[in-house]
Amino acid sequence: MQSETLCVINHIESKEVAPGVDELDVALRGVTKSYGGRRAVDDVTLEVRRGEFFSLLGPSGCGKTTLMRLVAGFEFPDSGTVLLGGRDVARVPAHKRDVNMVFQNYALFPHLDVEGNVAFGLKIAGADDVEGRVRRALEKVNLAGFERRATTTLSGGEQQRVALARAVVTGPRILLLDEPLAALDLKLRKGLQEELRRLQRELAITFLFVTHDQEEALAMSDRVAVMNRGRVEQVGTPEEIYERPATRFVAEFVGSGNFFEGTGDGKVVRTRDGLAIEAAATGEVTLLVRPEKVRVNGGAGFPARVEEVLYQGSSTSIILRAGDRRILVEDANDGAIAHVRVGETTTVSWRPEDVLVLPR
Amino acid sequence: MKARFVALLVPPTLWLAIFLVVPAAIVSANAFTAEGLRHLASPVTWTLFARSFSIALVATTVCLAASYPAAYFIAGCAPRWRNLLLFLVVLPFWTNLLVRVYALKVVLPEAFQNSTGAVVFGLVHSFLPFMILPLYASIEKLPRRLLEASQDLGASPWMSFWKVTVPLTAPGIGAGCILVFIPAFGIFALPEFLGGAQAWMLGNQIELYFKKQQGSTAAGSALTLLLLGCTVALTGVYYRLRKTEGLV
Repeated sequence: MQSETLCVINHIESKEVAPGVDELDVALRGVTKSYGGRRAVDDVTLEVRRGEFFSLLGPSGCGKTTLMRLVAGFEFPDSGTVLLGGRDVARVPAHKRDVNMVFQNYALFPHLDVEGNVAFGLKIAGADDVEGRVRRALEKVNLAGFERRATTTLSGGEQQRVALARAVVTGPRILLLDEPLAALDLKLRKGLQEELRRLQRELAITFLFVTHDQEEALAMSDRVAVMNRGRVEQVGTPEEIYERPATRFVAEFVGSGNFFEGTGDGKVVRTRDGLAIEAAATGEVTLLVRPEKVRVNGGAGFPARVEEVLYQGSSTSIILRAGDRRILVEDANDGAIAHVRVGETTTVSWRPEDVLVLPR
Repeated sequence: MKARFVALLVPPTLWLAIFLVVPAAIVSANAFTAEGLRHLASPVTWTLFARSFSIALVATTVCLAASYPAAYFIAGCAPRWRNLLLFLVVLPFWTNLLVRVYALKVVLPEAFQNSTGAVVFGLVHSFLPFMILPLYASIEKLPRRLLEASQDLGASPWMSFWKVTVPLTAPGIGAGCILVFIPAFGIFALPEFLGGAQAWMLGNQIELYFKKQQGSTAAGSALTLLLLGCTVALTGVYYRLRKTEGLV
């Protein structure tokens, strides 16, 4: 118990000091991997700090799983270097890396019971007190007393916890999680998100988490790398990714938005359909206004007609039309907006500081 | 509905009664006579039994060792190659066993013939497909993910093979061994042509008792029952193991 407390303290301290080279758990430098001429991972440079919860976020086929498999050692890069804890492991096979993985469909051994699965890595390493360590690992994932159960009799969530226990019991430097929650239903997923976060804090292990679910990535991560077509589009904290997306792809993938393409003169951006939007941008740019920043008030602003009102409990989505343009509005149901009715004409507006400028 | 169900059961029941129960009863009746039991207890029978068992065991082991890499390789090939290779594996079955045995006699060096080794060679040659096919079926079903999981947890490829691949393909190993061991145990054609006196097996003795003029139906029946009992017992053990290990 005491050593655990120490770990947590270490973890907190390590986050406060500026990350030097020693603090990097994973460093990828110009990593490229192709399959049959197609670049699955294209010149990726990434750094993951010690004890960080780091997510690789992107649509399917963006290369995030390949990138994770390169870190695990199931694939070797065509070029570039993979450093784990400062050591170049580009050619080191999976079983010699201090990295464990939680597989998407758990990949539990069907011929072994829960204890056999969790003990697998310990027995290979010739660890002592296997039984005790397995018991403690199972307690950590709330599966105390499950030792003798066959894995095939467990629910999806329980199998997921066994996979987690199996991966963390050997105390790896880095834990890789390949869409570990994708196969679970929404309620269970929310619960496991919290649990994963808690586990990561307690164990002070670096988590590299692969997901295509932007909400999950934003909610859980210290930092997120958004990937598209084998490349990293942006790396940043969830706030940075959402509030200051570097590219249109990031802006569109992480949340929804209203996009305006136009030409700026330093003060105002004019779109083709004649809108003039206040923004400090010059040249060809794309402007983004997040739906929750748009106000529907009937006062000053652009005229628009209400097409659809979708009440969603904690918020209401309003879809408006201004000429050929659809405008999305996300309104927190806090009573600030008077009831809008489908078909009525009103105006939409936003504060100038809520306009984000994206390069074209 | 029920009457039709019963009607459907009549032909197979009759078939089994005529071709299995009645002959088994006749064989048993012949075996459990003074003469039959005397032959069953004779040292000659048990020498042959031990020799047949060892030859079949060695042949099965060699088959397993030779087939596992082959099956593993085939399972790892692209689907269209897989089908071609499997076709090649079963191709020898298009030729009658006796023809293949005569062919072996032509091919094998004179000095190697008339030996236990030649019989084992012949058995492996003849029954290899029976081992490769069930092995292939179980290896092909093995999820690659599990091998990755094993290596991820620190097991070298060799360790992963023993700790994951072998236990998970145990049903295929068991089925292949049974399919090779049972016919090998009772074979008579191969030792007859390739074995000579030193590789005289239980099957040859049975043939001798039934066919030759100085033969004995009682003795032949007793040995037949011995072979049958052994086969049934082995199969029983295999299914029992499979059930308790939960490997289906």
